[in-house]
Amino acid sequence: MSKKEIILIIFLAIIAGVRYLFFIPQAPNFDYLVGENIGFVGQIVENPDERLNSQQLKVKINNQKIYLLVSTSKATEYKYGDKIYAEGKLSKPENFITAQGKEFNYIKYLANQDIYFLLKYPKIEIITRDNGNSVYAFLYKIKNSFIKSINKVIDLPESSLAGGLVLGLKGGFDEEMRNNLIETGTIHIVALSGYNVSIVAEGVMKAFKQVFSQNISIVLGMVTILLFVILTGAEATAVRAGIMATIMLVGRMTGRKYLAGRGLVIAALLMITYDPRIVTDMSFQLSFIATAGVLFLPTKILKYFSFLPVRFGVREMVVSTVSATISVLPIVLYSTGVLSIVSILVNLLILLFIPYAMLFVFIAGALGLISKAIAIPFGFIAFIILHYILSAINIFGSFRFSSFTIQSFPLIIVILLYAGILWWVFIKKK
Amino acid sequence: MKKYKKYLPYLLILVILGVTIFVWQSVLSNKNPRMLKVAFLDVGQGDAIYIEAPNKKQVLIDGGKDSKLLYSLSKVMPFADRSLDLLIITHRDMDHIGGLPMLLDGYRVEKVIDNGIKDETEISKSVDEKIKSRSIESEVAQKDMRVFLDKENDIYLDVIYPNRDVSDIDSNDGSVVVKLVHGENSFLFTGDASIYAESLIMWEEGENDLDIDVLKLGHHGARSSSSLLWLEKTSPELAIVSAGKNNSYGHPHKETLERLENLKIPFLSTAEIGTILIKSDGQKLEY
Repeated sequence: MSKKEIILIIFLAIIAGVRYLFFIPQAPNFDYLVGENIGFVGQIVENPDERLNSQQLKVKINNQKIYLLVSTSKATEYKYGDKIYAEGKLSKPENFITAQGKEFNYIKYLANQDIYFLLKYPKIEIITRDNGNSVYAFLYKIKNSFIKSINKVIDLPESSLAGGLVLGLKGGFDEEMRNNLIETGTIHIVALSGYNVSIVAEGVMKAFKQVFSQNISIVLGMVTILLFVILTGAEATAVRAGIMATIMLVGRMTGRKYLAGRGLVIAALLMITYDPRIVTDMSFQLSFIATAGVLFLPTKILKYFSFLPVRFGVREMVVSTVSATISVLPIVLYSTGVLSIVSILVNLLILLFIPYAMLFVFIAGALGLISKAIAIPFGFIAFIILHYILSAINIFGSFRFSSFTIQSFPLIIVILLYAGILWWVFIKKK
Repeated sequence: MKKYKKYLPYLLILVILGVTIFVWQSVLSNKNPRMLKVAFLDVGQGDAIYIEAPNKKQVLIDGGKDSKLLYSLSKVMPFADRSLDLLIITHRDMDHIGGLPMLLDGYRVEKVIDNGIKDETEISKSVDEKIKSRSIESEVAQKDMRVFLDKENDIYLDVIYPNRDVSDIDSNDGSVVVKLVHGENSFLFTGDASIYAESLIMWEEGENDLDIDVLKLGHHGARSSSSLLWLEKTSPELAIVSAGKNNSYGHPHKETLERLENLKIPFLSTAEIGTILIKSDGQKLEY
């Protein structure tokens, strides 16, 4: 690191500190109201988060910077920008034990989104609609019609996997499916991750490279990423995935890994400066580390995989998968405790098909907006690929030995492991 | 553009392949096109019955308790088919209409038949609102109403209850009860009708033939339904329990199962085997 870089980092750290202390809203002191019946007027500030049998609305109380998470049945359709009156019992979020037997810090998870209080199944009345930012309203509208379009031409449960793959929606999975995804180490495919997006963007770029110059195709790849971010409603996680994907794309296509690595660090620093709480956000940690892993580990492990064919990108896929798995393993063990025995195998079985699944879901979804009849053949191809992916996950997830849970995995071991990986990648010579 | 063109044939082949598999799949899945399909869907603790006539007329009776309805329904319906010709709502309890708001959002429904009694619950109001906003034709069920599903194959639905004003009695006993007839075969769908409604039906029908082949036991196999007399009179070849695994009500109750045992009527339960699919060719049943 040069002197300039150190100065820059210190400068950003100071801004981050100032932002954390003075600009990030603190928990409102409403504890005395917990358990009481309250009624308030507020506005829905995000697209409703639809679950299997409920939906969650992030509601901002009128004229105040206070957010509540309201859960309600799916009987009534709520939209971004609805002004509502809600009346019910105020409660606080509580941490819970996951199916894998580890405590999930739900309080912190919500606090990172400025949510400190819940309202479960209140009485709700819609006062007026369309009060939100018109740009967001428009983006969410596109997103919702796209989801409806996918659901029209792909059957359940494959369509919920489709929603997960291309839009990061997890609401369509039941408990069993979610556990299978976790236990086979494949939950990342339905998380809004830069990795997925970069695969698709790379495919688009390779196709355009046949026709246009390298630079133009890189631009077109980025346009693809931008479209994806827009389609997912430009929420914070999507923007982050987009940035990570761009970095990964530039690194892989140009071969300038260290430039991409530097971009990654700067992007991460800027994100942390903007909202320092992000450091504790698991999806941020995972996407940062997986991106770094896919950029830097392959050069170290490639030599062990030279027996694999280069055709159809098999070798590259295997190397990327192993790189990503190694790099996120310590943090996964620390936060979820799940050690998946079949992770690499299942990932290899499905990852090769994911870009195609995504591609056909995109085509089917887009055509479905115009006409269901022309979308059905594409939907059916997507369905077959998705069906294969789901079957692989369910078969391996149902095995008893597919994973086991490590109850305590101390932070110090995580730090030591990452120190070890860093040393291996950057310092150790051959 | 030249190099790009070389991918076009592959894409075309893939699409044609998709269409071909799709067509064959739909042909093979319907080996005997004259079969009537009746599926008691696995929706957990609730009711949902899907009927498909040989001419592709599709009927759904009740909508389960939640969105699990859509998962089970898409497994028995043709691929990407999102339309139903008729929806029958037996009554407005949560475990019979819980999945309907989501169904009405994603499926085109041509017509709704219910018992005409509205309910003030959020879910019931939402169902009514969606029926209205999508301008779905709606009709109130009455005894002696007949709906032809497939005239060519002699398949029709007969409403046999309510046979009187049911707005003041217990909501379960307001359940629409329909009989499905296919040639020699017949099914009776009872909603949550209890012994009281069963008695009313038997009283009203008098000497009329109530003998059927498949009986969906009222109220998920609760002891307050399916009287011995009712089981004797309907004398089913097979009884169906639509209930959830380890449900908190203890359905089906052991008293009901004892009555079945006494009359040597075999039964199948969705709690144990999931969706129950029965096929009829008008002569005999296949399950």
